[in-house]
Amino acid sequence: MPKTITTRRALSAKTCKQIADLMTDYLADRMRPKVKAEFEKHLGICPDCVNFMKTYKKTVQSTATLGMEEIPANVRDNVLAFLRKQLRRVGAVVLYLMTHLAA
Amino acid sequence: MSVENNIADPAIFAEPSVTWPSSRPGRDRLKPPPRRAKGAEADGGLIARLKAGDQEALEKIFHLYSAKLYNVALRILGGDAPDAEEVIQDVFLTAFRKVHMFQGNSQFSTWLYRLTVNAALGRIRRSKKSKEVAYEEFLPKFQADGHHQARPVIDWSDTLDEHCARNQVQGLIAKALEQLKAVDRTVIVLSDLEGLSDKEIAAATGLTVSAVKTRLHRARLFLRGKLAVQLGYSAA
Repeated sequence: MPKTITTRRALSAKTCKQIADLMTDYLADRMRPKVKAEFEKHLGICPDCVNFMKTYKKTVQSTATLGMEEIPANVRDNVLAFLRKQLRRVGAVVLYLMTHLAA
Repeated sequence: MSVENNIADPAIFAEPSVTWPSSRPGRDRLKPPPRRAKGAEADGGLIARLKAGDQEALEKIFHLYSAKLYNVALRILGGDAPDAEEVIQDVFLTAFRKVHMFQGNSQFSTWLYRLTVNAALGRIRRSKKSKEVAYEEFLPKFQADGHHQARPVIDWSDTLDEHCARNQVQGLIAKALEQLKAVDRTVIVLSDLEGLSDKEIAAATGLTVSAVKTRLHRARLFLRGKLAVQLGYSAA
């Protein structure tokens, strides 16, 4: 790393570790203006932290692509059958009164 | 309230004392849009019917929330479908029995998330089928002066898409998710997949907002490190 970069880094109020620790807040856009200015000042002189941020952001975006799956029809039917059986066996009203009296 | 508590603990049925804003100013611009479909929240009438012991109301609520809660349970349980099914059974039966403890101070879905998270984590704790790995190897390293230990830090964000098909990336992420601590995985699922705010996650897990932030960041760092290593780069 060129010496000039190190010198300029020393002028920045934040270290790379502090920048990494603030990454979530920065990407969520919930930093105080002063902290954000220091954060962006550091990014302006530190390509390592820029690359770190890009890969951090990419990780979050990739995780979000996992998305939702449909609940399998047989699972939905099984659970509904279970619930109906449970409520029928005890009796919904009895169950309701029991739980409220016990509460 | 600790997330380590069992679903049998009556305190977990209590409603979080947080009123969620109808809009979400300042939401994480990285986060996916909230996945709650419009109109997916149960209205007061339906909840009142549930409180009155109406089985039909329970079935309507089941149809409203079962897909979402099943997915959350499935992700927290590391893809164990039979366990996820049992969790959902427990959640809706518990919702029917304990709905009188829901006072309307939070969204009904937040209360259901709370039941789901507790049931899923309780099941993991009892099963001892953990795939957790130590995080340290996959976290960034820094020198004593706070600078990156390994330089240069490589930007592999474009490489990921170039070298891996979308389903391969999803496979890598899914496997890495399974290796997180169960509570951290829960936080990631609720945040980065479900789009909940830190406050909502805190209410659903019993963690403090500060703890949610810390766990979320650490879990993301771990996932980032796992992806970097998979691509042949340093986790640093």
